[in-house]
Amino acid sequence: MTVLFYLLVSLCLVIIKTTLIPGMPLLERFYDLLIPIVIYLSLFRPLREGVPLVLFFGLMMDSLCGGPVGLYLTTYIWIYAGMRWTGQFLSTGNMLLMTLAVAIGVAFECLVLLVYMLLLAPSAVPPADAARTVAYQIIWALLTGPVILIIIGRSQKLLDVWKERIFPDWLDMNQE
Amino acid sequence: MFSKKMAMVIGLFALVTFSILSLSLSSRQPYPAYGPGRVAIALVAPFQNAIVGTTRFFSGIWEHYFFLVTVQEENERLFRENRDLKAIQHRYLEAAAMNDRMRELLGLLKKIEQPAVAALVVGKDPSPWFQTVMVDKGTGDGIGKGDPVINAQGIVGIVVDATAHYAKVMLITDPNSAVDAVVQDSRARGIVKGGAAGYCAFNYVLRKHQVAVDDLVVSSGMDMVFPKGLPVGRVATIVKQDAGIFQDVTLTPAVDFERLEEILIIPVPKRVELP
Repeated sequence: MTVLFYLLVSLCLVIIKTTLIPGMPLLERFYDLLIPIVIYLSLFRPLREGVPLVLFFGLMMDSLCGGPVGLYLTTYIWIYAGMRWTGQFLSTGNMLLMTLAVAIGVAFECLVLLVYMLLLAPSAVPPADAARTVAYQIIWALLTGPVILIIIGRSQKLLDVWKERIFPDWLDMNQE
Repeated sequence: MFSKKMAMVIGLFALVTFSILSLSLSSRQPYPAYGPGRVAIALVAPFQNAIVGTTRFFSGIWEHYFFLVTVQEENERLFRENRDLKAIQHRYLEAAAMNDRMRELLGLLKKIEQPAVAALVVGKDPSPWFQTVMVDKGTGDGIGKGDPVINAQGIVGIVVDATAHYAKVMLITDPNSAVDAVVQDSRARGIVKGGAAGYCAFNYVLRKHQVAVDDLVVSSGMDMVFPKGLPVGRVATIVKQDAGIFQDVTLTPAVDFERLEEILIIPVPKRVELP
């Protein structure tokens, strides 16, 4: 049920990002909305839920984007693994650290994409306004990242309550 | 002296005579300017006026209330009607605008003299780093990877991926895109590559060739992808460095990618591999 929930949420976010957001002023350089979900999954959800979802997100973005296959998959796996490892040492309840985590995730994705364009792509060159795009994305991530994480956290709690009501036996068995 | 009966007859006679006389006299001047009638009017009329006024006041409030209710209902009905008419007008304007764009595409179709498939843009690239759009035609409509995409304004891009019903089109503003092009007047040749948002780079244009701002750059047809002579963009800036054999030229694309809605995909005949 949790996996299904995140699948639906990610699909909704990608549809919004590809249809509504491009038409909105100031939001044309909005950051990848799946990054906060990847970070949330890495810090708060078990591996058996996180790994398949991260793989799905990566494959979905790779098939929708103009980049080469595997670019987003690699990026998400690195963000997931990195944040999971970092989460062992840092307090995951601190909202400031969570905000920074989203901004770092966005910056990392930009870095991977720029490295791809500079070094790996056969004929691609980074856009002339790449620095501005990176800056906009990080600012947006700092401003909206915590809100998105709070929404995901609240939704997850609600989902857990519903799950407990609908499948009480299944949860008990799982806990045992 | 008189009997009682006689007195009654005389009284009756006098009363009849008085009545006839008074009526005949009053009929000559029906509305006297003075008299007890005026007193009665003066006494009664204000009360009549007050009562009728009060009745009218309450009656007015009651009727006004109903009138307002009716007006409100009518207002709501007119509001709904106005909203519906606006929606119809909006649909009509959209249809008219789409009709104009389709006419332009049809004109282009006749000009290029090649079979083409019209498609609608249904989504944009989720990443700001790449410039692709999703269109509502796929391999089921006869299009495939490598097919050129154009519209009435000029070259749009190339199909880079296709499923049965949808295809992904890489725009000429994408960093991976390259179009062989020439300046229409001077025939200076170069490669148009995607760059910053809203601009393309026109690379490998030799310094010795004459290029001016606002020159039209068209496809050369040498890349065997795009038909020859289609607009790619107009020269926006030219920088000639002190050294080097090329000049740095940027183009403003001919196509307005922010408002891209309908496109034409030209299916390229697939090569048959010899056994």
